Amino acid sequence: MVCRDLAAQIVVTEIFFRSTISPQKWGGKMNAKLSRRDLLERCAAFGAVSFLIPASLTEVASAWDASDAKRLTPTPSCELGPFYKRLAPHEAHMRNDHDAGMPLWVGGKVYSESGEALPEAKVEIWHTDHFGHYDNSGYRFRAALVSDAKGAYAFDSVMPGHYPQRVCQHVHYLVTAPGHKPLTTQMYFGTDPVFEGDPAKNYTRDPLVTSIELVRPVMIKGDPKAMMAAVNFDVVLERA
Amino acid sequence: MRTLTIVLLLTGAAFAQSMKFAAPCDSSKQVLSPAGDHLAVQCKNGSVHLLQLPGGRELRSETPNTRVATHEFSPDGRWLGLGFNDGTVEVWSATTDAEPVRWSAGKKPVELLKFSPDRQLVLVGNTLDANEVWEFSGAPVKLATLSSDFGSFTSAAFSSDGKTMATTGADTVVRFFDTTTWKQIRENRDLTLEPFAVQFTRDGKQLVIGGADGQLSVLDAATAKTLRKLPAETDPIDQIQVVNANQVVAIYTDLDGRKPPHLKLWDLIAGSSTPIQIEPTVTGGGIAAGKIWLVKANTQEIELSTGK
Repeated sequence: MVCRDLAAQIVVTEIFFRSTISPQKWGGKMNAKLSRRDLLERCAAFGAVSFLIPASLTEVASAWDASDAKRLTPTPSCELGPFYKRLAPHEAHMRNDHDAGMPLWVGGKVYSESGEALPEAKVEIWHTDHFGHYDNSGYRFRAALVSDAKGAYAFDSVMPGHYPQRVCQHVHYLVTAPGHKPLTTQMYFGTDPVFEGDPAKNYTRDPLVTSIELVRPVMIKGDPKAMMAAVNFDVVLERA
Repeated sequence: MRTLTIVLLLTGAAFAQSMKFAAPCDSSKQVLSPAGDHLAVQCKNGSVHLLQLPGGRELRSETPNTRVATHEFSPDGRWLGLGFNDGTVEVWSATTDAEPVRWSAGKKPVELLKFSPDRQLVLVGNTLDANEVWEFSGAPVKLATLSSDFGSFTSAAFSSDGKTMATTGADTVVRFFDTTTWKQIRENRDLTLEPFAVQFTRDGKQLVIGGADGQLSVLDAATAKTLRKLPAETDPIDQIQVVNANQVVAIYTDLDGRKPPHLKLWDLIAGSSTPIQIEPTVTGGGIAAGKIWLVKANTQEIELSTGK
């Protein structure tokens, strides 16, 4: 909360800089190498900034830097797809021992655009089995997860299969959190044969892949007898 | 995926038992107008053609720069709406030489168009999140943006008096809107899987819905409560067309693209169904005077004939 208040104050300060301080007031031109702290010190010396909060220049400068650095772009959306199903179980372990297909672990965090982790975001995911079939009568490979206090979520499953109407293997996401727009998107695998090892070049082979950001690197973990594909997929929600 | 479109022919227009004419192109989709006097043909080369029946005379054609995502006739057959991949909407007059009305309804592909029966209104839905109502009697004006929990509407139907519009959404919710205020007046959240098709029954008292659950759900239009669910099939229901007071045709389409669509005639009261046999060469069709009209289109010609 303190950080958020500080960030809000900094936005006000930044607008104040832009609207009232001309380059000439700094001795002819802006010094691009000024640190945030230097800038704030000089502003304070000229009376161009005042602080309504009990914080040192260093704290303000650090928070300002952090605020700039953490600004995140919302995750690109994709169409929902035809097989969303409400009321999926809150079960992160979707893989049974007898399931065909390479074991898959997916984890990530849910963030706001300002870079804050969003706890208790609802992360609904669904995908096909290894053979490319959705379970519409039941809830296999469907889950409704909730991000933890650090915004993290994770599930284990199997790598989804291909099916005739879709080019790429994919996992559907519907992510919702209070104060943010619902995100419907799909996550893809960099190892998908469709990409022929070069997702950056070939991701448009599936017209529904709206951004290379959605194609994630795959790490292979475990020993050769029990390998598992692991994928990290963070999502950023746009403020409502 | 083969798309088989069955359009209810409200007037029972006087078709011959069959008609045949030269095809304007190698077509991928054919839609009959509700009056049975026009056929819209979407071609594999991206062009769209409006043909007059029974002779097949071309009234208008266009090869747009972007793909047509959907096309739909108004209930009175006067208008043909085209929704494009770039968010553009065009409305063609099927009865005059007037220039098409054209506007932008966003940047996402337009995948749903549904005309009001009594005014020059059209619901426009795109693939992600915009559900907008536009009036096109003059310069197109957006009258309302309709909300859902997430995603766009997947289908819509107007009551015959035009006073109520029912929608189904990707969020699985069935909504009823007052078309005077565009306020939501009722909703039903009984479905768990996405619905794809909705129709009012002839008397307007019930709403029939089909979708990914492969079964018809019948709702009371006055209360939005579920009255009954008919037996489920394994394939999703992609379209529903009303045949008469108690019967509808459901079109089942394997959206995975593994097998061709199939049709069933359902009795809503008895809850029983009869398969409708169609030849693999059938590519579209319609219903008139209780009979199913089938379209067979190939690169050379288009044939319309009564079904068995």
